Amino acid sequence: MRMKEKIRIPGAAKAMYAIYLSALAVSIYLGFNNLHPFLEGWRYPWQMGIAQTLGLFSIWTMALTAGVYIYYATLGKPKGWNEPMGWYRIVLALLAIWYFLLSYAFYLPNSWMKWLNDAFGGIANTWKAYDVFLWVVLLANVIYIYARWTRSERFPRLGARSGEEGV
Amino acid sequence: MEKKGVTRRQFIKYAGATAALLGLSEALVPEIARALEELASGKPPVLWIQGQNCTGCSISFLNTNFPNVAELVLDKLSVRYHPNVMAAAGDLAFGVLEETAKELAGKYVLVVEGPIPTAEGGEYCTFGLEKETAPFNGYQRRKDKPIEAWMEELVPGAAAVIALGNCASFGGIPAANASVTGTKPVQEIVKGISRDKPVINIGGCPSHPDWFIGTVLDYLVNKRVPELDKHGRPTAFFGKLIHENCERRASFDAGLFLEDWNDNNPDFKLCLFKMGCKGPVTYADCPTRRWNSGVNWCVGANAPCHGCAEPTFYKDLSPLYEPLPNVNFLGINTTAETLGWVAAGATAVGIGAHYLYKQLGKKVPEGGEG
Repeated sequence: MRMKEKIRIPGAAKAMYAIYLSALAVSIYLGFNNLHPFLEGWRYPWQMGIAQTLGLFSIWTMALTAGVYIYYATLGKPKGWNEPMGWYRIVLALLAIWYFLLSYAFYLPNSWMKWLNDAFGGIANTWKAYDVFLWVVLLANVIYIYARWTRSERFPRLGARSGEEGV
Repeated sequence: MEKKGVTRRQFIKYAGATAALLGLSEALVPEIARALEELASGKPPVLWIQGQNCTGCSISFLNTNFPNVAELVLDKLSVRYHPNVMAAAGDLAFGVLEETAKELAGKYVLVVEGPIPTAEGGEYCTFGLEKETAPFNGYQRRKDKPIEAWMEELVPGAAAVIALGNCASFGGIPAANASVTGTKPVQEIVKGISRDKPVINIGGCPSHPDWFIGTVLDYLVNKRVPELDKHGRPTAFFGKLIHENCERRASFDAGLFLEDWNDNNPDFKLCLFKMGCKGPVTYADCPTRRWNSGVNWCVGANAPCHGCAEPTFYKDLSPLYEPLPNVNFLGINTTAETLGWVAAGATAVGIGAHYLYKQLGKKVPEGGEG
């Protein structure tokens, strides 16, 4: 059997991905809850306030992580980092930055992102684009997670064999 | 004026109120008074014809009562033809149309309410009769005259054409999906007849009476077509986004949305965006002008804005009670949510199929556990 090459990932990249994924989960949850509320009835102002703050916090986290990642994976790439699908992660990072801009226009339509609202031809169209990109970002990340798993040593198991690192 | 019991002081007051209505400076009051005098003396003549309409714009116009321009303008404006207002009927009425087109060419304003059907030779909307006859049930009768033929007759001599209401301006409801009547907006028909003829589009379903009266006065005061936006609408009335001036804007910014009609307590003033409000994409001054002499407007009455002043109404702003218009993607017209679930299903099927393929096609290594 052909042995898969041992995959080495710097700790910084692992940490960045963990932060990115957590922020992504929060922002997507909040985005869907905003557009398609999971609970019937109207929501209290404090709930919406927290949701908006959390949403903004999560997209800032995503965008900053993505920015740092792009630098780390290109100009500042450490030696020995042989993790496959690097191009896909760059695409995800760029998508995260676009998602940040779009989310900002969605959350604060009259902020410095007003130009994007104008470019879309109004807030309703921004909401529509945000609705579409919630799905795009979600599915692009789900596909990446699966595809990356298929390239790992542990596939098709979820956990590594005893004695293996399995990333 | 005096015969009607209107004093000079009252008249100047009307002019001042009209200036306020139009948002103009008081310095223009004498100009407006002059324009109103011109209206009162029967200039310019107006021909008001109706295409595929519901007469809502006429009713809206007749409902105006502050400032009391109806008494001054409707009574004094030389409306030579209006199907709902005029006393004349039959050949007498149509004779006025033909006579005005001949004798007052270049002076009259043509108001068109409702779009123009073009399919089947325009037979979906006719009024009056042609000179030619045609066989009908065994005898000869004069042919029905389609509005398209009237347009060809009346447009060349018009000083300006006003398309009143969303249907006339942009096609509106008659031009929505699957129009069987070949409906065309007035501006398209006018372009085919006289390319340089100015067309002023006054959207709305119905149009606000101030928008019509204001546009006519603006035209008379300045002797030219008022400043129009890219859709041919006067910017004085259609230059501001409803969303920017909405009384519920604070709720939108705070994220306080109405999500169930059963919770529709007007005191909460919850934002109606999620119930289908199209205020964020609609340019009109409804929130500040309000309707029925400033009594209320759609959002104030707990109804979402349907975007009736926009060229995209009705076709591209429906479903009316859905928060977001449908997404047009690869010829499919559906909601982002439906698209998302279909894409999620396809992703799940793809991942599942790939996983099974890898598992089933896997060779068991010697001594290995597989």
